[in-house]
Amino acid sequence: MPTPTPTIVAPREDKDYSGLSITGARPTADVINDIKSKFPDIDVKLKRPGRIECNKFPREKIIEFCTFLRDSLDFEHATCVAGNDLKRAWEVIYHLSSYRNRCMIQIRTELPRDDPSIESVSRIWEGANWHERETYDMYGIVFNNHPKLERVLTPEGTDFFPFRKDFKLLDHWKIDWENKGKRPPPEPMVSTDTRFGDSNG
Amino acid sequence: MGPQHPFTHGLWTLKVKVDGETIVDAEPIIGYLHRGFEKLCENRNFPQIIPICDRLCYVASMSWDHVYVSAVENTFGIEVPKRAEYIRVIALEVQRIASHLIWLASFMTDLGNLTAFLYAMREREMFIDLLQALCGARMTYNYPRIGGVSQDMPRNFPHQCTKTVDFFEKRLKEYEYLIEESEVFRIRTQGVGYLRASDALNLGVTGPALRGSGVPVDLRKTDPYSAYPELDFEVAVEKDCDVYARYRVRMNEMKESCNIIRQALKNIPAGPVLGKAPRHFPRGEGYARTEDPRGEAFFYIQADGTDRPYRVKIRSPIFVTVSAAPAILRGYKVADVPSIMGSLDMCLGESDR
Repeated sequence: MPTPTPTIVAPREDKDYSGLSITGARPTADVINDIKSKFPDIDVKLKRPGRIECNKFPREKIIEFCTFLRDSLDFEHATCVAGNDLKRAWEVIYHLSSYRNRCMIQIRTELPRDDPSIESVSRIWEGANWHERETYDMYGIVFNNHPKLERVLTPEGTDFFPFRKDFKLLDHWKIDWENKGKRPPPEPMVSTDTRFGDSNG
Repeated sequence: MGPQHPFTHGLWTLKVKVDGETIVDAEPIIGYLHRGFEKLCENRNFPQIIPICDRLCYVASMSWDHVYVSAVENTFGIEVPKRAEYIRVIALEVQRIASHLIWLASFMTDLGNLTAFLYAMREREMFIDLLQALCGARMTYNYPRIGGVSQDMPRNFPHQCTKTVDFFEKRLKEYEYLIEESEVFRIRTQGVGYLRASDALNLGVTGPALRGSGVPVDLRKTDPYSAYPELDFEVAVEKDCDVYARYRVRMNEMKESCNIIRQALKNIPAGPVLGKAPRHFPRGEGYARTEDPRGEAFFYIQADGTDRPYRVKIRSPIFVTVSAAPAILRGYKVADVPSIMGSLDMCLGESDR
């Protein structure tokens, strides 16, 4: 019997990350100054050391801004992309973190009610890919130029968005899963338990 | 492969496209366990969310309770007593060892080493006993509260804890010897599942998988929370980027956790364990991130002035790590799948939510 040889994929050239997050951290105020000098009309403020906030971000600039954050300010990691239903508008909340500068930025973007779409950042950070898919799955917010915008968590054939505020809790009991998740017309809630005689009396 | 396959350790499917024996492409499919957790949180008030956070991850419940309560504390600016922070750190580290032990047990069954499986499960029992002494439950703890912890630790807890940790450190050396001297284990792990550091960063991989690729990022150091800034410990890093490196990182983390528990027990101050929590929660938003046994756990809360959160978002480390699986699997043989996926430490409760 021949001895099994392990598959070896030759290590490719890579940058040295052994000093990441240990040396070379810049103060958060410097990072904010850099952002302000490049994007003067964006509201950026310091919440506490290491935490940056950015509210009411215009959705057209998101790709430009995120590319700048990653390439110039070392935001290597997209922690989270979340959707939200504000009732008057849709909202996408980005949490991006920089290991090198030891800080985190929160970007809140509002989308109009009738057009829930924004450019996808998963070309910049691939880690945002499934978060965007999940946001689409739960809220129906469309991410343009996403590599694969499909449902992740809900079953195939679902035709509703469960985290929207008009979808109430326990609504899912009314869904006919055998018929590909279509919602039947609402029925009056009557108990079908007949063990104790007449269920309604 | 899956959803009922011995290597999955949970309910998920891996679609694998093969060319002969070599994996060309892969696609993980999750969602069998989706409970609408975030929607559920929006319909419960703040203290009521703590017990259901236990159900996020069934092997590391304490860390999810902790990330939730610290998110609420960050949102509303609630002070936590020093003693409560130390007790939390001890509980978290005990939980980390228990979680890594269950990973070791399941990883070893994947690779056919049943002896190590039995040993790891046996040692885990000691740490479960510690947590039981702390809060009375074995799996779903419901121990941290908003502004502290529910009760002080029992009087003999430090003694029991030190004894267990000392005993475990001696045993761990034996297990390392048992596992690493096996040539089969070396062949199945070394040089398998190569994940480049820059790919790992871009794919959003966190935790032991990232540290196994040579990136020394540990949120306990880089973004310290709780009582971690006052404790002295090392970050376990390995440079080999393969399955074996991830295994080494977890083993070293267990040793480091023992070290942290000992220090915390030595430095723990006296005082109250439960601070004042407000009865009415104002409007606000906040978040917390912690180093879970599996990676970066993140909780975002938006409050609109009522007793319920308006929006809760949970970032689960495994949800992102499993999305990076195709990049790791490409180019390896089908027989390497259990070894590679096992090294990522899957937990479907938190990724499906």
